[in-house]
Amino acid sequence: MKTRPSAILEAGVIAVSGPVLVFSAYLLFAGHNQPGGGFAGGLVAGVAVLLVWAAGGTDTVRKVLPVRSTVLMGVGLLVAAGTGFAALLPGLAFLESGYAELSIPLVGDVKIVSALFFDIGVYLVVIGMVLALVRALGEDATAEEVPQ
Amino acid sequence: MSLITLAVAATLFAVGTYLILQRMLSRIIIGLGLMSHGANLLIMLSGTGPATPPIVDGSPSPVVADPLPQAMVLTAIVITFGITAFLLALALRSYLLTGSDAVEDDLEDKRIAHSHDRSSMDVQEMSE
Amino acid sequence: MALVVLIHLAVAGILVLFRRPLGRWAFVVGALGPASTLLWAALNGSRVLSGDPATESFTWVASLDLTIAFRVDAYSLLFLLVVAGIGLPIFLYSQSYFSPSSRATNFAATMTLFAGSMVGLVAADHLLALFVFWELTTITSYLLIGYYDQKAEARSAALHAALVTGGGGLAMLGGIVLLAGEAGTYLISEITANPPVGSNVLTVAWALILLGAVTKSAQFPFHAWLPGAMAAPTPASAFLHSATMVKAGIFLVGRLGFAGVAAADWWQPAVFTIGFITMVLGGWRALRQYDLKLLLAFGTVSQLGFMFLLLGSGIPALAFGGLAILVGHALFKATLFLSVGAIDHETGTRDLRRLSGLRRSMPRLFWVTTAAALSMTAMPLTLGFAAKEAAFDGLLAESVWLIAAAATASTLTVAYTARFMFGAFGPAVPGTEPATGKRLASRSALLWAPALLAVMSVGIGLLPTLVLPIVNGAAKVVSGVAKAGKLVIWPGFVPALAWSLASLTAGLLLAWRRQLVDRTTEAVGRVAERLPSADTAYRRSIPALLRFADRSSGLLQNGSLPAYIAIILMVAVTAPTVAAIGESPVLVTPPGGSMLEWILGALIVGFAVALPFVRRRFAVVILLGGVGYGIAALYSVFGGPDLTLTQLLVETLAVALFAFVLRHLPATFSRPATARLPRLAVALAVGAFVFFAGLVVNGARSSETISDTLVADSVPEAAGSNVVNVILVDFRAFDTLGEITVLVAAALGAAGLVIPVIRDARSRT
Repeated sequence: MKTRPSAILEAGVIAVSGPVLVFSAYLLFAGHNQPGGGFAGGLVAGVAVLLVWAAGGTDTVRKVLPVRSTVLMGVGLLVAAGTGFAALLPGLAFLESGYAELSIPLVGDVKIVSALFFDIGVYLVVIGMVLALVRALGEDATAEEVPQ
Repeated sequence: MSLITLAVAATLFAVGTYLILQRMLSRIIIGLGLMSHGANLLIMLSGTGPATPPIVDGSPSPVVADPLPQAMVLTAIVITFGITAFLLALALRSYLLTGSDAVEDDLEDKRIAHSHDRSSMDVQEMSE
Repeated sequence: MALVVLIHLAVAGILVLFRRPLGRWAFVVGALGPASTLLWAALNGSRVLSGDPATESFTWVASLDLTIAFRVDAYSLLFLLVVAGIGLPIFLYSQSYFSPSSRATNFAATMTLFAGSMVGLVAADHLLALFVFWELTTITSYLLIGYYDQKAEARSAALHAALVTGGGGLAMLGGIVLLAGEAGTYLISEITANPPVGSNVLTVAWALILLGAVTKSAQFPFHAWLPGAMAAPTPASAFLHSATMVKAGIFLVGRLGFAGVAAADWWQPAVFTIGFITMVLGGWRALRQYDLKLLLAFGTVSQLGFMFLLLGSGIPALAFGGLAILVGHALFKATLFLSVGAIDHETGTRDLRRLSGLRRSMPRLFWVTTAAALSMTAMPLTLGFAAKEAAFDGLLAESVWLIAAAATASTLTVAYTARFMFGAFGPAVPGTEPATGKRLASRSALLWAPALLAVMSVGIGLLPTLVLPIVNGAAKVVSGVAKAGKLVIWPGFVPALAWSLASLTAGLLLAWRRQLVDRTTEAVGRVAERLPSADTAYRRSIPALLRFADRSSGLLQNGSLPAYIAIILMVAVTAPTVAAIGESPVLVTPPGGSMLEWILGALIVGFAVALPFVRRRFAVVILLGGVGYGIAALYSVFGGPDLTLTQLLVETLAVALFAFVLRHLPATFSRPATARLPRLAVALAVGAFVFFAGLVVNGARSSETISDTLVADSVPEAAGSNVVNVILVDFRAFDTLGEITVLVAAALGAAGLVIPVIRDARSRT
């Protein structure tokens, strides 16, 4: 049974979660052309949440990620659905995607696909879901185990 | 489509069924997990079988794995995760409230099952 | 036409809404419905009769071929005239029959609604619209029969009628869908113009449609509901259960019978058999009744059998006679019902043993009734005679057996008409308390409404040309034969006349020796009562049905979750297996699989099979994780890196969630209480089914995969190389949107279930 969270473990885990989150973002943005995408990216971020929990339970999760899971999920749904409705403006069908090629200095030619925003919505929903589940189920049922 | 993968899917269904057919919710969840693995394999079997990933560069008609079953299975994997989480929460709640995660008999259904007297009364009125 | 139906609907609505101010004149207001129908017929009649049907069509759901189509040709016009021409006097009669009350106003509204449904039924060209109107008549009939709802007898009679005609209607709906599937259209005009032939499905379709017509028109063996329906107030009996609603089945077989004969060789024998049994049985049962209304009801059953036989046979020469009989019957039977209603209203009884001296106390009603009764017995100079001559003429050309059967029924008709007349207007039977009536005021609609109908009966009998063009036009429309029929006062000495006169003479003989007939029917009846009848069949079948429902739901719905799941799974296994055995599918044996697949497969199976044997919860979680990681590896063999990635991540998170939950629960599983052997049997059945279904499905692909287009379109359409991701976020993005919504619901649900109880548990420690 765990007692107080170890400060070293906590710091170490948070240090590891950084690269994990970067990897998760990479999966999200590369997903349209390489393996990955919003689901995989979101789940990787979820694993990072799990690591934070392992360091110090739900209270550490709350401290490190001070965002409400419902906000994440709600914003995610809005972004995904909003992408669909945005397609109606230029006269496309609901959720039909368009793309534009931009020339950005130093980076070069970049293809921006509107479906990316849909995937960002998926990504946010998945993170929010994992966060909600970890916070709810990861909570301890007995009082003495709650860290101060 | 290969025989061994089909056999694996069938086994997952059989074991999953065996685990589902009892009252403990935590075991039912495990059974459901096995069955959904089996179902996902069946969907995959409707595709091409072992092949290169469906990642294309725009060159005409490359020979790649069928992407449609993969998209369906990906959806199914994530949905199953959501359902599993929900059922786990249900099992936990049931245990914390009642001290057991067993699914008891539905009392309302049991009442219906033993209600021959009720309907014979209806019949009386009807045939009068 | 739609306007006429809407007028009925509006009038009914207004009656219900303004019950108080309109209550005194409810039936007069309701009469606006039939009046609008008559007005429509007056405006469009000549055009329709000239062979130019009035059509209207309103598209509802174009993609489902759902239109509300009306098409009034001469055949529909004839029925419209019967519905409105009989309906109008009955509405006015009801005004005197009922004393004003809010219930009577509801009755008027329901009758108006019924009249509108009848108009829609005979005018509809789309079979589904016809079905809707058909069931509307069933529902309104149910309400009208059950008007005296404080009487158990009326309630059960209403239910009986609704169950039988409603059940038949449902069968008919099935038949309609099958028929339309074969014909490629729901439009009656197109089906009759071009009847589908040569398919086994049609046999089922026509049998179901015939069942609908048989139940609606009270044909053997479903006739028992009609005498029961006499529990309704007499105006409803006169309107629905003699003149109009029970003719809906006749209408349908008359309309579709020719198409039915073309598709099914059993159609004609079936119609002849049903019609023959119904007309003889009805006539015989009428001879034994003491209630004047029941006597008329069995007479109606008998006459309906005759019409069913004539119009349903699909023989052109019989259609004309059938339609003439239909018009004649509507007129005289409605008159007789209204007369009985007047007698009942004035004397308080319909028992023919008690009625006494009405000939003297109600002389005018006596003559009105006599005129209608003469038409019923087909005495010369009446419409009944001219119609029956036309029918006999057609039958004679067909077969001597048919005309002999019809003559038998006619003989019985004369006999029960005599029983009716002597019973109603003759002296009371000694030993009963006699009931006498008082003179009816000539202003009362109780007198002049039946009188009007009787005058029409006699008038058309003397001047048959009044209705000849309509009957001829209608017969021509349904039979497709242009040969004009004849309605004449006196046909001359033709062979059909001999049959008529023979049956009339025999009937009069029975009337003369009616005491002997009574004794005979009494004696035979005592024996017949022990035989199964349609009525007892109904009475026994309903409790049996309920018992069956109780037993089966008690067996299937026993409250146990494992039992429910086992039943569902066994149905899922059995039903496709049974279907597959009939199809004898090809089992395609696929290649065994690569080495890697065998290794991974062995690993997965090993973990999975071990699962039921392990009792320690955490060991179970590890085994489940092992299965998941094995599956993830297998996906990568199949060329699905996205799947491998997702499965690995999901499995990791799922194991964590399992661990979260199981740490609260006891360390080991208790032994399941459910018996092991049945579980094993179901499990093996499911596994075997999945295996063989996989083999069958593997060899069953019939069209090309759409994936080739997805792969080809991925880069040009959606600017993405990962086709799986493009499907998820672009091609099938709507599905994904639905999916993430489900995820949100599941997460919120899980959190909502757990957080309160955990806080609760913590605060208690």
